[in-house]
Amino acid sequence: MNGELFFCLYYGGIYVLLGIIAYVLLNREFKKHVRDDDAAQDVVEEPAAPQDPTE
Amino acid sequence: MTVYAIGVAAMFIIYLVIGNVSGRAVKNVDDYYVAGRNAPTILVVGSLIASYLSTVAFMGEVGFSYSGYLLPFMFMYGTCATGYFVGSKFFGRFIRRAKAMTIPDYFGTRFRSTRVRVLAGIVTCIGLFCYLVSVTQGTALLLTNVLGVSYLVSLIIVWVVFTSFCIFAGSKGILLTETLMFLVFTVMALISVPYIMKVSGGWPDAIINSVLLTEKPGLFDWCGVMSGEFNTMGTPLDIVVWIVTFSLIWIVVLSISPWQASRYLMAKDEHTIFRAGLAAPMCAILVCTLIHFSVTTINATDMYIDPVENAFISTALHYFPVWLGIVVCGGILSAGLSSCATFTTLIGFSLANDIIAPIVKRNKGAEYTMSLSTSRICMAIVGLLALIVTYCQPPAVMWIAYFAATLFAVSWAVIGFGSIWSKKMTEQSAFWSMLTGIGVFVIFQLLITFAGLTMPAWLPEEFIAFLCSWAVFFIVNAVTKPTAEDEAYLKMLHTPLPNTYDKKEIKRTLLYPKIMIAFGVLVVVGLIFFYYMPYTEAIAMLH
Repeated sequence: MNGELFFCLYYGGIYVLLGIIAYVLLNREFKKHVRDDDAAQDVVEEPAAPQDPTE
Repeated sequence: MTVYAIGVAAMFIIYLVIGNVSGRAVKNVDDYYVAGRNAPTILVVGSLIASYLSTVAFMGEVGFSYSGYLLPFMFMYGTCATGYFVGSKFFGRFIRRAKAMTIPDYFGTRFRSTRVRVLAGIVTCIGLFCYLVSVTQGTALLLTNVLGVSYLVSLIIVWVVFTSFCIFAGSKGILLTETLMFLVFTVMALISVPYIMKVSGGWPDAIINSVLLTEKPGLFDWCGVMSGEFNTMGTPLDIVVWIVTFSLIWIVVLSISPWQASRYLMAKDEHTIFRAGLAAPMCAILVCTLIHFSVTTINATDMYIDPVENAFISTALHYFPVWLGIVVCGGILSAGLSSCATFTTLIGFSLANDIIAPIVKRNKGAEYTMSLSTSRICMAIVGLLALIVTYCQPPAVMWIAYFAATLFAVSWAVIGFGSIWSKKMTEQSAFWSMLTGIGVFVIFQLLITFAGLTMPAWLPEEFIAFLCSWAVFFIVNAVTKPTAEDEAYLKMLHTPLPNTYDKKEIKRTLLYPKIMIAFGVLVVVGLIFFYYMPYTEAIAMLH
């Protein structure tokens, strides 16, 4: 491969790569926090266990 | 008065009206410094691009490509534009959380240190002043060409417009006009390409004719012109070192420099920062690729434009229809003025907020009241100084700006990313690593300029300065320990803002990387079709 063809592939390819990296990084972060938030919400919304009247 | 002068005058009037109107909306320091921290994606993108693509881009860098180094420049440019995303993800979002007014203000608060803040303020003022001089030179040169008046008269007109604008407008006005100007010069780039190509025979002949030029052999080669009277860059090794060095420098500059990262301080939320960090490189690449490739083909018609900074303007004035000439000159003028205004504003902010205020040590209320008026006075003084220095300094639009960029890269790279990502970083390591970076770089520059020192191609002085800064960071970190306050502040920086994990916002933000992937594929296909195929055809003719 010559330098000029390499340039064409590199110049656009770096943005394909950046797009993939950005997607992976952002998606991973978002997923992790949304999961954590949902878990925290479930804990809050979980109904209290009925009390045993005999106690 | 020529029709060009009328077009330029109209541009100035629009610019001043916007500045005046937005200036009236400034009610407090937050409005003035960071536009109320409420800017949407389009304004942040417009501002990021407009403050980056100044006359340095449309005159200095386009001139560099025209002179024979198109592909080396594009290699560097393609790489460094990724710095926008690096900056938004690994720096910008965190300083937005810190709610700082300026980047030196952030450094000072992060390490609870006046000396760190003052030193960062001094670096900001010196670096941005160099950049301001370079951009003012370019804008005044342009005006001289368009109006046919003397350089001094052009300089005074440019100075009056940008100084009066930024004294009254503040960040809100800057954001609005920068976005407007970003739109103007994007449209300019899209419209002017076919006209420029037509000058040298239209596509693909324009590229073929340029490749066949015997006086500038290698105009479209990966390493540019390497022989003959137009070779100014030495050997292919020099070119590779240049590409690597300036790619790294500009990645750092686009990530953490005050005129880029400060835009994130104005963003509405973290999603705005991510989106801007992904949209900005695509816009910048689109505009620059079109302009640089097309202007380089002008060589087939006229390869002796002097100074090379005038390559684009000279083409617009001599070969374009009048209406397009006005659009192009107006577009470049817009880019220059918006950058002048941005740099003057940032220097004024830093001088008032990061150097004068901490030294004077007023009580909080008085400091805030003083800061707004002091900023305006500082901007007026900075503008006046820039006028004097620009008049005395011979034009070197691109190289002065590159010096300023390097100054930030070598002194701020370690403290910028370290302040977010290093748990061990202390106030001492922040201060000494920054001082070492700038000190070593300046010493080498003095030795090269005045003592005739020459560095080997494989070891540029920028790397030495950066390595020294990095070494000091490690050594000082090893002998000092971060305080409990340091650790608490770092923890706060890593706590997301409230709406960051809103599902609807996440879905929209994740669309941007997908668009970027498609953009990258289109760029490869476009380059192979519009550049590589005519290039190989011309090379076959040569053999």
